Amino acid sequence: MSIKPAHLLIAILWILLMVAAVAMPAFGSFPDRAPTMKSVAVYYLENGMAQTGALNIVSTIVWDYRGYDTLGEVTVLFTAAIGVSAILRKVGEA
Amino acid sequence: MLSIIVRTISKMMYLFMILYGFYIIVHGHLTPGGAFPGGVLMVSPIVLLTLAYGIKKIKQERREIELAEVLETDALIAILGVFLFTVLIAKVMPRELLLTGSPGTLASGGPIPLLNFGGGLEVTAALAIIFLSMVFMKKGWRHEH
Repeated sequence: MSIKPAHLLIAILWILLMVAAVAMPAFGSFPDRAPTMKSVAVYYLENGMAQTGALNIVSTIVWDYRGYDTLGEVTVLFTAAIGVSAILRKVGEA
Repeated sequence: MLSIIVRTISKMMYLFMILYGFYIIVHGHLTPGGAFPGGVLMVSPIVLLTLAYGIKKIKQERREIELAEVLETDALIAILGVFLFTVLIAKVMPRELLLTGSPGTLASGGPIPLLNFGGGLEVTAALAIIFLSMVFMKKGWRHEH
């Protein structure tokens, strides 16, 4: 069995993934950040209710801060439903 | 078709299941939940009734097939239109102009309740279409007017 380019590609990808897995922070530890440069998650937690007025922080992030991402998500679901309906339909029937 | 116990209980409970899913959707900006879990909860009575009564019995019901067709042809496009319309409203209007209750009340959260509602209906319609298509659209199913 000869070594094909696909095998080489898989090996390189595997090595990169292993390096990335080793470089991850330990399980359960929160990554250290300086208090002056706050992460965006801390910003959402501190300003989410004051800016939108909704109590559920998940809904705030999903529908407000990242609304276009959720619109794309719903469009994917729409496409899935249309696809299933189109594939399972008998040919020539409305 | 399952036993008469399952059939009776599912016939009694399916409206309450729809109501619970609707509650999850409407209170999406206050409590955990929202459009996606609420939509799945609103679809679950359809799956339950189909399991309890069997595909053959459900297929005999003309209204069910017509309901599936209405869902496929009209409702999803209309609901996506409503969803896009609410997105446009939400992005055009400032957050201060729409549903400005104090946090914790039902009419608060700006565009988020409207988006939850539209998204919930869209998820409900999409999952119902997928399920009903897989149930109904098999060999031998005829489209009759």
